[in-house]
Amino acid sequence: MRLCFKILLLLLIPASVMARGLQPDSLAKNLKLAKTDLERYQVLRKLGFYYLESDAPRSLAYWEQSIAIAKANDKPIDEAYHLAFKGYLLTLLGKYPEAFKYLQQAQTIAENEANEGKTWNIEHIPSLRSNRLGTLAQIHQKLGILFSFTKNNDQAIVEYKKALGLCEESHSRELLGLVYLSLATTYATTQQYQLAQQSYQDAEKLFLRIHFLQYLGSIYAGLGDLYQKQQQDKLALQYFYKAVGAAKKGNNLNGVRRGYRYLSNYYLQVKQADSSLNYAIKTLNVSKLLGDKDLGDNYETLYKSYVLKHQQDSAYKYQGLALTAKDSSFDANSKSLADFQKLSFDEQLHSQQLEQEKADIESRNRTYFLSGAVGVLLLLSIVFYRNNRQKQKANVLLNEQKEEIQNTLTQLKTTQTQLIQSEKMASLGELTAGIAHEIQNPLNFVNNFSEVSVELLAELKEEEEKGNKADVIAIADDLSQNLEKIRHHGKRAESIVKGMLEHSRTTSGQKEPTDINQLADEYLRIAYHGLKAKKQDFEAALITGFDERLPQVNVVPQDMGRVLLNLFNNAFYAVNQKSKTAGADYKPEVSVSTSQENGQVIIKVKDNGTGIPDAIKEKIMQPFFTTKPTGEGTGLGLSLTYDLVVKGHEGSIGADSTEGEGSEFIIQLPAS
Amino acid sequence: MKILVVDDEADVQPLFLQRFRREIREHEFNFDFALSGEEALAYLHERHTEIVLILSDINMPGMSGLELLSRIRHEYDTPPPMVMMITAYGDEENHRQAMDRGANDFLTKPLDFNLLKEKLKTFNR
Repeated sequence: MRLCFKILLLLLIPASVMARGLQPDSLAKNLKLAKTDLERYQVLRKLGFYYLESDAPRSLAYWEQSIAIAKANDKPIDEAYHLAFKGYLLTLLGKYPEAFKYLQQAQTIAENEANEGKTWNIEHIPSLRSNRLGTLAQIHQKLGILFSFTKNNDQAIVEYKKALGLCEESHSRELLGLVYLSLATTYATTQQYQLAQQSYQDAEKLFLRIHFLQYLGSIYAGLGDLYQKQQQDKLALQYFYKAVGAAKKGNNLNGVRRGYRYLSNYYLQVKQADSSLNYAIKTLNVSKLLGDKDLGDNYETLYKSYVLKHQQDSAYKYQGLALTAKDSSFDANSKSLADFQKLSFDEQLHSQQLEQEKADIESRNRTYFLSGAVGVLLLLSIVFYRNNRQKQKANVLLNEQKEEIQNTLTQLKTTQTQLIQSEKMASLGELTAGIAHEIQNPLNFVNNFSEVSVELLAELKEEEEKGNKADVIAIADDLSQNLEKIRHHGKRAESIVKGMLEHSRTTSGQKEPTDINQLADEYLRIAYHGLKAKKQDFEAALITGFDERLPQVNVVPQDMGRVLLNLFNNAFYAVNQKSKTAGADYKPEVSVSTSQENGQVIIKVKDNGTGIPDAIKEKIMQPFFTTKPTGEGTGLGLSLTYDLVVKGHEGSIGADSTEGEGSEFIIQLPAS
Repeated sequence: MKILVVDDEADVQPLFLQRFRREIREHEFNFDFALSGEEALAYLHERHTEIVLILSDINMPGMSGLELLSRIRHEYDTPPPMVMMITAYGDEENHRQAMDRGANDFLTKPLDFNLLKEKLKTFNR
């Protein structure tokens, strides 16, 4: 495990410094000569990098100075960058809690976008933003190393991945390669060999492409380690040698030492004591050159090598050294680890508190938001409610109006029915006198014939007593004739009454075979006498032209009677109107004729009255159209006539009229 | 006395013959009948001298009783026959018109035959 930590150290040497290979003596001289803060800062930075991997306390001293200068000059990005290295060095020195503190400080500064561009390092960078994000990438990589050192491998990987993203965003290619390397090492530690190999290869590819060769040795050493773990010993050995060669070429002493250590361990494992001892000694020498104070692993390798060589004295010596070194290292490490764990626990607590506060604030905000939302919803609800209520009101109003309209319609229909009925009754009223006349005559006959029959009976008795047999027989004949007359006129009156009742009936009757001639004659007389009853001086010639061979027609008698009555009434009205203005020579005439033609029974009602003006010919069949003075006509007569003929009897009705000369109405009915 | 009865109702004829049976038998009255104004005029045209009295209905198809009255008064004034008008519409207007046109009397249906007999007998004297 220690091995791994050591490997990590290699990854932290900035390429620029290594490449330049400046000597510390000249740098120290430069520091004294530097007149401005910027100059001093730049020299201090170089010195810090120079001692980074060889003398941590010294390097740390330089970084602390450069941090102070950056801070005084308001260069927070530079301050953060150097804080990252301070944290890294403290990590190396095992002071994990302090390291964590400074790395967090650095992170806070670098995450603040307001600090963007506050840096001296403005050359050789794509943009101020990438400068800041590159710094942040450094910090996360250092945090990753800290977590790796403190065995929080999962967290280390998280930090490395953050660093990866930031590297890509800020185009920091060298750092990217180094992050791949760090990541690969951690994957190897956590036995994720596939991922480790992939990351090593990513790093190798990148380093070769940008021709950054300094850390190639570390990659090969890592790959060799992986192969060894996968029992590919030959391949592993090849890579260990390759690692030493690459590290030497890259002027990387850490890499060289690492290669030696792998080789010594390898030979120890395959029990080649001489080779193992050889590389173990080389490793120890390089470690001393690097000023490494924790030599426990080195001593252990030597001890094992001597055991293998059966040199008990040397083995015993290094065993002791190894134990002591490891103990002290272990104690220091343990304490530091414990401190760090505590710190990170506190940090966790703190961050939990922060999280809690944040959650509280969020919760509060959420509450506000929810309250707001509820308020808005409430408002919307009120609006909708009001809308709904208004709609409901409108609906109620609409319903009321609908009902009103329906009521009105019903009333209208009722009124119409009543009007039609009253039209019938009106025409009936007109006819009452005519009908009375028609009834009066037969009634008179009935009365007279019965009265005279009583007289005849008395006479009959007288003649019987006288023995005048011939007279008795003659009187008896008269009596039977009278009774026949009485019966006849009684029937006549009955049929008139029946007709009148049928006329006034609202429901339509049944169709039955009807003698149209008789019907027309009857109603012609009724209509005529109706008008006569009102205007006694009215005179008109009634002309009938009945086809005696006319078959019976299947009609509703009272309906067809109404039709004829209307037509007769109109005809009499027209001739009467004309007689008022025409001279004494005017002879009013109303005629009715029947005929048959092509299976149709034709009824013609003709008058020589006023005629119909062309302007109103179209309207005469329309309901409520009338030429009579207000109150005298309902305007329903012809309309009803039309309905009865066309709708009631599948017939047709037409008018032929010349104004001032008269009119002729022609009804055609299908002969049944 | 020869009396002409003008009415479009044919049954008026047997009724008059029976009602005046006694008077006819005793040759007090002699009746003739016409079913329309036109027929009455034709009858008068031939035998107007025989006729003493004319009883006419007013409401008839074709020529009305009033028109017949006017024609009689216009055509046969020597000697002027007695004319009695009969109508079912016993109103003032008909009565006035009948009187204006020279009717001797005005009767309303239903006819009171006793009253008619009295009147006829009065005329006869």
